[in-house]
Amino acid sequence: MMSGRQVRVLVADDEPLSLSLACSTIAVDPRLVVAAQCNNGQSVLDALAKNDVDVAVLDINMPRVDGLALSQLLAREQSSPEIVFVTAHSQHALEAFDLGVSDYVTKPYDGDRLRRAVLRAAARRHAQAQGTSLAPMEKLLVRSRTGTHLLAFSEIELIDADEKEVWIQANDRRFRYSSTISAMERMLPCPPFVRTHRSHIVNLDHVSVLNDANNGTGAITLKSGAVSPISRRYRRRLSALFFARP
Amino acid sequence: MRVDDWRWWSLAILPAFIVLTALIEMPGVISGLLLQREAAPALLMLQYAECWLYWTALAPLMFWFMCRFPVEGSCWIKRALLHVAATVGFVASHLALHAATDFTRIVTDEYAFVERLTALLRYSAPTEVITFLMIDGAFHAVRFSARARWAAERERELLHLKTVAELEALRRRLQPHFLFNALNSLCAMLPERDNARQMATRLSDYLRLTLNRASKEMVSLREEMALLHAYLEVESVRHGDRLATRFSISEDVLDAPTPVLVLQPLVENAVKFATAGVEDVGEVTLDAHRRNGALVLRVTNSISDGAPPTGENQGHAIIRERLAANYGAGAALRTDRSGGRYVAEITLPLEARA
Repeated sequence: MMSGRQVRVLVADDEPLSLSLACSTIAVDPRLVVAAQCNNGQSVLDALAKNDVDVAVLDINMPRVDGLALSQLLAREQSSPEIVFVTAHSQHALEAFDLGVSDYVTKPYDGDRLRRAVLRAAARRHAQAQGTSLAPMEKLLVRSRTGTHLLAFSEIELIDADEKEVWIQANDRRFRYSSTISAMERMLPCPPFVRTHRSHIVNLDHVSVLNDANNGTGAITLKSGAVSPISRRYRRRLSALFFARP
Repeated sequence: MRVDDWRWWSLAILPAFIVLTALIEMPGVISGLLLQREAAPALLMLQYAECWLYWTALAPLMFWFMCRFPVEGSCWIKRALLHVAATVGFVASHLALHAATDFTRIVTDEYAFVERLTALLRYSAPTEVITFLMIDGAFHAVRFSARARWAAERERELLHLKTVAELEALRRRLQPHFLFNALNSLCAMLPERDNARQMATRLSDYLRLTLNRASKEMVSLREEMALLHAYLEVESVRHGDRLATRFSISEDVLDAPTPVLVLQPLVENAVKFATAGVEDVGEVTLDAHRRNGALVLRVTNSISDGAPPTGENQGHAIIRERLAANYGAGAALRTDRSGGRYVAEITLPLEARA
């Protein structure tokens, strides 16, 4: 992907079934490769010393050194991998985010959910390695016929794509931007930005009405009146985010 | 409890004695004044009040005894006998106090003292016994009624605690992480695109939402919709293409407070009747929008021709009761069947209750 090579993933879980599930789920995506499998916290530390790892997918409940302690240890290291927690305990979520982990996936998970978490974590690490800035980007430079504009992310309502470029809708105008919808999805924070369709990304802060349908005929209406279709593939995640936001 | 505390009783009896003294002795004082034109009525009154003041002096000991040995429980006969003995004891002490003050007053005249003592024993003792028994009786009456009220309250409290404890026990018995780990292992044994894996994941989403819920009476519509969405996702896997679910939700009502699970029975009904037809695709639609300053929640389901008649049931009655309890006349549930659809619509006031 961005660095032209596969994302190297370490997976740690003390339950063999759970470990093999995580590994096979990750291996489905050709952009990802499982570089190490561990069944306890100590072996994670050993594996990290030997292998170059971009993202560590850690179970929280492991014997000896658990996931939370592990992430604390790793946070002190210079080139530590990004961490994605996978756990049955949803009550650790806040603690995990305090530790600065990339993502938190609850068991059992959809394969897509875990892969997306790993890919986003890898993108975050890549951005940091490039020195792009630790602070997340919040503005976008776009061109229109009248000149260039600096768009704040919060102004962006909708992004839709055709084969060659993407169109950004903001402040009742449309701006052309040369990128791909997948690259935009990786760049924009989620939430509030969420993919609704193969060629659409919506900012949940601008949503007026959600029309979710389990047969793929749903649509989302924005406060500006614009309508974006919702495809089957993205609808569950979209409604989960729509109803989960505080 | 304060009715078990002799100190509270000793203090409480003071005003009672003062009122009693006034009521009982006042006629005597007034008639004395009118007939004999005696001077210094206040002093006279004090003298008459003496009898009650002695009871006040004895009150702490008396109430300590009554609180310590009330006539109740399995040994009530023994206690009753003890109270008879105590009656004798307290009346004797009361008379002795009388006699002692008399003695200080009439110390010079030994004969008068003996005569006075005999008179006290003969004429006052029966009244004294009745007085003591009255106090004893009043004590028990007040104590029992207070206890009965307290017991009723306690029972209500216990019932509530029991319900809470039962729910808590249920939640604990479920051991969420055990459940989710088990379902995850199940997923590991199934191919990725398998329906069973989907079912396990969606069921977990639903369970997680129900387990994470605090036992609140009101939740935001957002929370309610998240749960219903997860519920319908599970039902969608169950019924496959035969069930089409739709949500149409305005973003601006998501924070509105809603009675917890108020829509759940309606949605369950809707799924049941939408899928009751044999061939057709059943549809269940949930709408939540603002209308004339009110929140309108609508559950619609299609009814196929061959389906049995749908009507209102216990679930509707319970929803109506809850709405009435929460909003009075401000909320309503209406149902309507027409054109192959069944609609249940709840209207809630959007503004916070007073």
